[in-house]
Amino acid sequence: MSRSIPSVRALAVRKRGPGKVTLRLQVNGEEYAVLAEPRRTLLDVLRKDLGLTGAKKVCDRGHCGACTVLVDGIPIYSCLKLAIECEGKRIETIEGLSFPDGLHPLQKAFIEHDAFQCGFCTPGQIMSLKALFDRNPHPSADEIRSAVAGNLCRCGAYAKILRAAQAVSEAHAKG
Amino acid sequence: MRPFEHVDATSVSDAIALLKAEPDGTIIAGGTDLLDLMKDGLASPRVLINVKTIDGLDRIEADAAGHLIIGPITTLARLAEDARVRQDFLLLSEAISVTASPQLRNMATVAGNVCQRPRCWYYRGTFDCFLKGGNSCLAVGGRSRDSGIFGAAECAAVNPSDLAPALLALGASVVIENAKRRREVPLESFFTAPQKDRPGFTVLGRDEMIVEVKVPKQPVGSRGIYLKAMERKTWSFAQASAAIQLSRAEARVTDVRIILGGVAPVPWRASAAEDVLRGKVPTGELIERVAATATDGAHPLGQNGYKVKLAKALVKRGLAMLVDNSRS
Repeated sequence: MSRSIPSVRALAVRKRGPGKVTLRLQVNGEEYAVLAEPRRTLLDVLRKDLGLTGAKKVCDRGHCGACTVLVDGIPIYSCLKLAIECEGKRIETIEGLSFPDGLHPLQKAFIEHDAFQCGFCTPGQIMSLKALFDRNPHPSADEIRSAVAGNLCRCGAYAKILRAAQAVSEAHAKG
Repeated sequence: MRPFEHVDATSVSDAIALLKAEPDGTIIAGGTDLLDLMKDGLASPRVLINVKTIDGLDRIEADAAGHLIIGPITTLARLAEDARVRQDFLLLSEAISVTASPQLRNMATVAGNVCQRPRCWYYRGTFDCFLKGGNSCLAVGGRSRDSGIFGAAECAAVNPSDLAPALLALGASVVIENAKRRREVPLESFFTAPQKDRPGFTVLGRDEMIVEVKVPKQPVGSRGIYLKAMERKTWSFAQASAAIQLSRAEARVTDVRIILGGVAPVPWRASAAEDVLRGKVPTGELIERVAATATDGAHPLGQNGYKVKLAKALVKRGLAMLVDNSRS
C-alpha cells in the first residue's frame, strides 16, 4: 500500500460495524434506538427489532413490493435498504396510518371495495398509494396504476385496488 | 449476507482513498443491485462506503455550454422528473419511465444503474458459469432466451440497463476519478464484454469512482425515443430495446444514433443501420432498410432468435414515430 494514501482512521469518516451498533431511527413519529449490525435491512429492523410486522417479507429481493414503506415520504423497498442508512430520516409504515385515530381513508376504501383476498400485499399497496395521495389528492386512474406498478398481488385484486383508490380520489375531488 | 463495516464518506476524495485502502471495499449508493448480489453471495465486500453522505453528488445542472451534468447518485426518479431533462433530453425520461418499478426508481442511482451486473439466470443462480470462474457460458446450448444475440466473447449475458442505451444515444460520457487523476470516458468505450483475462463489465477500476455523467447538448429539433419490449407490461428487464436520437435539417437526417439494449453484453450500437440513414430523407422504404440492417451480424443462440425480430421491429417503429410530424 502506498504511503501517500491516508490511513482509514485518519480520514474524517464515520466507520461502524461489522458488529452491532446503535441505530437511531424515527418510525411513525416515534424515536427508537436499535442495536443491529450494519448489514441489517430496514425491513428486518422493522419486523424483528421493532415488532412492526405490517411490512411483509416475501421475496426479500425487490421483486414483489410487499415490504414497501415510505422514507421521507418516498416509497421504497425496505428489503433492499440498509437500516443504518435510514438514520435521520422519517420512516412511515402501515402501522403509522391507523394509530391512534382510526383507519386511513385508503384503508377504509380497501375494506369497502374488498381490495384484497389474502391481504399479504395490502400494506405495501396502501403505502405506495399513500405516497401518491400525499403528493396528489386527486390522481387519475393512470396515475394510480403507475403508483402501484411496483406492488404485486398474486390474488389478482388489481381491479378492486384501483377501484378503492379511485373512490378516495373521487371523494377528494368532491372535497 | 456477510458482515461488513459501514462508512459514511463525506467527500469524493475520502471515498476514493477508502476504496484504495480497503481492497474488499465497495461503494454503496442506491444499493438495489448491490444488496441483491450480497444476499446471493455474488458480492461479499468487507467494507461498504456510503456515498449518499457526500454533498452535491445528486445534482442535475447545465454547464455553460448547455451540456447536462448529472451527479452519480441522482436517483432515476429525480432525473426522469427534472424539468430540463423533460425539455431537452426526453429520451432519458422515457427510458426511466419503463425501468423497474416506482420504488426501485426512487432508490436506484444513475451511476449504479450504469454499473449494474447482468441478470442472467445462470449468473444469479447457483451455477458455475463463466462469470463465476466456470469454464464456459452455460447459456450457450442451455437456457438462452434472455441471452444476447450480439458481441458475446465468452459470456452471452446482456447488459440489462435501459438508461445506458438512452445515454449512449445522446452521446453521453462518464467522468471517472481515482486517487491520481480524473478522466472523461465516452459511454461508448465504458462498457466491456467480460473475457478470461478481463472479467469486468466496464473499464471502471476497483479504486475508481464515477463522479459525473455528462450529456452533450443536442442540436435544435433533435428528438429521441426509447422503445422496450418486455414479457409483461411493467417492472421487467428488456427482451430488447431501442434508444434512438435523430437530428434533421430540412427533410434530411443530419445525425442519428441507434442503440439496442438487452441484446449484447454492452449497449449495442447499430452503426451500419445509422450509416444507411445518415444524410438521407427517411422514407418508409428507407426505414425498412435501416431496421433490416440494425441486426446485421446477429448470432442468435438456441432460444433467442425472437430478439432479432424484436430489435428490427423496435427500430422500425421508433424511426417511424420520430419522423411522424404528429410527434413534434
